[in-house]
Parts: sequence; C-alpha cells; structure tokens
Amino acid sequence: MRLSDYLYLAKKDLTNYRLRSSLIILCICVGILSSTLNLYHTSKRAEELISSLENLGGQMISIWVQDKEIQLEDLFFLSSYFPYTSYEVSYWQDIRSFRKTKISVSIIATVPEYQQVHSVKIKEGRFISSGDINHRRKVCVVNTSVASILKIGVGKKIRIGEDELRVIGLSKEEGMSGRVIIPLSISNEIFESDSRNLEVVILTSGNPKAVKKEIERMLKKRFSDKKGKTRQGFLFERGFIVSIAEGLLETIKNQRLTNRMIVLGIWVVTLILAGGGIINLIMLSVRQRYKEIGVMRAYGAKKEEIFHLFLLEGILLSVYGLLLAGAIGASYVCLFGGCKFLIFLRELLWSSIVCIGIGICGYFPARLAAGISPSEAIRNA
Amino acid sequence: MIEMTNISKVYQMGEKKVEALREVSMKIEPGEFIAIMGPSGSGKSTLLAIMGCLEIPTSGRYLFDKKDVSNLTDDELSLLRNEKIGFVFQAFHLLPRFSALENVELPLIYKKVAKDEREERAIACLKQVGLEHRIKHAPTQLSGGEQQRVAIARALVNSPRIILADEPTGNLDSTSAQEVMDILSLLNQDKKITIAVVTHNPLIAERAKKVYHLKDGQLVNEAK
Ligand SMILES: Nc1ncnc2c1ncn2[C@@H]1O[C@H](COP(=O)(O)OP(=O)(O)O)[C@@H](O)[C@H]1O
Ligand SMILES: [Mg+2]
Repeated sequence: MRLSDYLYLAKKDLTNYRLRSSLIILCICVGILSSTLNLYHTSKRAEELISSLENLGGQMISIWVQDKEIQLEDLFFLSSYFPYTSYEVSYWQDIRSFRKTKISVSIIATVPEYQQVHSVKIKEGRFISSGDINHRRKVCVVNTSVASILKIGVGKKIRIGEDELRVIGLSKEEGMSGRVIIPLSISNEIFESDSRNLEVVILTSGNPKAVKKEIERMLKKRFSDKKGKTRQGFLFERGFIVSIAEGLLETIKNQRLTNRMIVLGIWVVTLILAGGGIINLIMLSVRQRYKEIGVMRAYGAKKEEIFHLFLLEGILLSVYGLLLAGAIGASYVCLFGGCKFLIFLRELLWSSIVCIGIGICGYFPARLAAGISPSEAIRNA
Repeated sequence: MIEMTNISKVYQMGEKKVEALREVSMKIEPGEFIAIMGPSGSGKSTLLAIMGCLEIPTSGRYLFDKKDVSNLTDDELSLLRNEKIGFVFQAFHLLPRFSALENVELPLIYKKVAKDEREERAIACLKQVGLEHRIKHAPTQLSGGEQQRVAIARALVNSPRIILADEPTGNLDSTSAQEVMDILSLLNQDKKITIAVVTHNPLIAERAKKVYHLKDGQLVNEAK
C-alpha cells in the first residue's frame, strides 16, 4: 500500500468520527500548547538573563559582607582594581505615596556603577549620579511596578518612614517585584534597622574563578591587617562570602526545573486524556469496522497494512493536534510573546514528545485490528 | 486450478469440537463453473473460505495452481488472494463510506496501483457489469442487485483466476439474481474465469457445469 493511500483511507475513517476526532485533536492541542508556552516563557526569560550577562562582556562576582563590624566603606579600595564595582545596601521596607498607598519593596542604597553592573535600563529620567551621592540628595529611582502601583512618576515624591524622596528616574525591569534605588550616602538616614544586607558586586571580564581567588586574597590580606591576627580566621570564614554570579544562573536553573515538573504534569494529563481518547476511538472504529477489516483482508490487505492503517489514524490525530498547537502558539508568540521563534520551535519539539506517547497508545487497538481473522469477520457480519 | 485432497476443518468451540469439513476431496479445472449445494451448516462457506485461502484446513492437502498453500506465510496468502482470487458475498460487503468506484478500486490499493490507473481499471470493470452510470453512488444509494454487481466488479478488477461466490443471490429478488448470474456466466464464458458458487437455489446451480453436494461436512455425490 502506498503512503498516499494509507492517508486516504485513514482520513476517510476519521471523518466518520468527526466529533470524537475533533475532541481528541483539541485535547492534544491544548496539552501541547500549554506545555510549549510554559517552556517558552521560562526559556525566553532565562535566555534574556543569560544574554544580558554576556552582553556586559563579563561575569558578576558578589561579595556578601557577613561581619557586622565591616562597613561598605572598608571595601571601597576594590574600585581601584575593578572599574565596575557596585556597593549595595539592601533592605525590605514599606514605602508610601502621598495618597497613602503602601507597598513593601526592596530598597537598595547604591552608587552610580550599579547601573552598568546590573544593566539597569532607564525608561524615564535618570539614574543615581555621583552628584546625588556627594550632596546626599534625597532622591530615588523606582521601577515600573512601584510606579504603577503607587501611581507616581518622575518628579513625584514617595515616603520611606518619615523621609520624603523625590523620584528622579523610572527603571525598566521586567517581571521584578517592587524596587527602589537610593544614593548610598543617605542609607544611614533612611534605614531604620540594622538587619540589612551589604553586598559588593563586581563585573569583570576576566576568568571568574581567577578573579574570585584574587578578591579573596585581597580581602584576606587587608582584613587580617586591620582586625588583628586573633580574629583573622574567623573573620575570613564568616566575614565574607565571595561567589561567582552562579546565584543568578542557579535560580534560572531551579526555575527551569520546577517549570519542567509542571510541564511533565501537563504531559501526563494530556497523555492520559488524549491517549485514552485515541484508544477508545480506534477500538470503536475497529469494532464497527470488523466486517470491513475482514473484507479488506480478503481482498489482499496484509496484517501489517491493517495495523499501519489504524496506527496512522492515531498518529494523524496527534499530528493535527500538534499542527494546531503550532499555529496557535506561533501566532501568540508573534503577537504577544516576544517573537523568539527559535526558542518556540525548540520547545514545541520538546512538547511533541507527547505525540510519541499518544502514537504508542494507538498501537494496542491497531494490533487488535490486525489480528482479526478475515473469515470470521466475514461470516459474522 | 484447485486440487483438494482429504481436507478436514475442525473448529474448537471451548470444550466442543465442530467438524465443519470431513475428508473433502475435489478438483476444479481452469475455466470451470461449479456450484456447491447443501443444507445450511453443512460446511459450504467453510469450504469456500479454504478455497479462498481465508482459512487454513486442519488437515489435508490444498494445491492452488499446483502450489501447496500450507507453505505460504500470511503475507503471501494475502498476495495470492489479492492477485488470483475474487470474492463475492451474500451480504455484498461493500465498504459503506466508499462510492461504487472507490469500492472497486480497493483491491488495487493493496497492489500499489497508482490512483489514475486504478480509476481507469475500476471504471472499465463497472462498465462490464453495466453500472457506468452509478460510479459516484454510495452503496446505500444502490439497489441490492446493483450492489452485488459492484461487488462483482470489485472481484474482477485484479483479473483473478477464480471468483468465489458465497450465496451471491441469497439476498436478491429473482430478477436481480438472474442478472447477477448472467454476469457470472458471461465472465466464465468470455474471460474463462473459473467460478465457484455456493447456492441453495437449484435454478442457479443449473448454470454450473458441475454441482457438488455437501452434507455434514462431507461431499455426498457429484451430480450433473
Ligand atoms: N469459526 C467457527 N467456530 C466454530 N464453529 C464454526 C465456525 N465456523 C463455522 N463453524 C461451524 O461449522 C459448520 C459449517 O459452517 P458453514 O461452513 O458456515 O456452513 P454453511 O455455509 O454450509 O451454512 C457449522 O456447524 C458452523 O456452526
Ligand atoms: Mg454459509
């Protein structure tokens, strides 16, 4: 039998079960579409983050200051070795607009270099300048989510505790929670609590592992001088944590993992529904066409040809579902999803694994059909 | 053409054994027109199914065109049926969703004949049975006699050596039955196609050159 004739016979049968076939196609389509888009979104975000890291031509190295006696000022010497060094004090606190809307945000007191190191995009206004730092200006840069919740813009003021800060810039950070950036020099006035995080982030184009070693060596040398030998070991082990920006990469990886688990769940559900549907449909078709199968066999159809025909019916349904999901998904990606077609295709390919499973579901009823004895089928008609 | 020696067929029905055929021996020469008669349950259909390679005999030897069929694989049997045997059934057994033309094309699909040639040959066969004006009709739009003629066209389309008809007129009125038998007789005379017909009807059996009588799975006597 030619492939074109297989298709012709299989389509003929499926149109006979139009409603059931459509439902199965729909089920497969929904399953594939949801898993593909799910995978697409995390992959896209991960790829954007990774490429933004790469665009900077370097890797971020974080130094977390654990020791309460060490101030960020003690680490300013790093700037003379690394031009892209950002000093950050961060803290979670409530802020208010003058309409009294209150939200909890992360406040970061930092220096102008923060912008390059974290590649912050400014949508409106400007970032913190060295002038703001030197004159201890009470200004801030808020991100879009803060601006939209508080309904404020550049030039307006927000309240942090008793202090009023003027908004000088709007930063664009996709999918981030509320964030307010203020000059490092005013952090002591603004922050109420001691439980703040001190972090130095260095952007380097060198070999990250070597740079990390170098930083650790410098810290060790400097702080053993300053703090005395007795506490040196303690200081160094508890004083700092130096890490290559794996933190970020790791969160991306973790995010992808949980995402994969969700997708796996979608696959299983799709497989059960669509696979069950296909078994049901082909069984029904085999039972209803018992006599026809006998006639086909009498007229020269081989066992394998009957088997392939019914197998093809299941495969056709999943291919239709896949194509439909591909078409809907592609238009979605094109219109709202950022147009990363390569990522979309890759994830669609992954999701089409379900189709293989569904094809396997068709195997059993197709075997059943192939095993029908022609003489019995014709006699019992 | 067909040579059967001591063919027996036993069906296992749970614990019980049903002997559908017992030691049947017969020979059909090429170009012969034979009829098989007998009460129902006497094994006529079983005999025809064995002739048509749809069933394997429990014992005995069956030569089709001097070839021992018991040595053939299932696929080879399919091929043999496809190329050398045409079946006509009492209940027509046309595929319901297929037009008359598509039904006649079916055996050619298994022979991997291309669509154009398939249509051409199927139309020629439908002409032979006088149905060229019913090509696009679905089986449900055809009368019983017409359906059986489509079935004959389907049996013919691969130019078989033998046509096996199991009570081909059993579901037809007498006029249609005569038409169908006329076609079969004509095919036997003009095309020298061997024909074996199972029937209850002595009038139909009269057209055959040889009539075999079956009773309880045994050949009683050869008449005529
Ligand atoms: N698949 C089968 N299983 C069990 N018994 C069968 C089977 N096929 C036929 N028989 C039995 O074999 C006998 C002959 O059947 P059949 O050849 O159909 O007779 P006929 O066509 O002459 O009416 C009957 O008794 C029937 O019940
Ligand atoms: Mg019978």
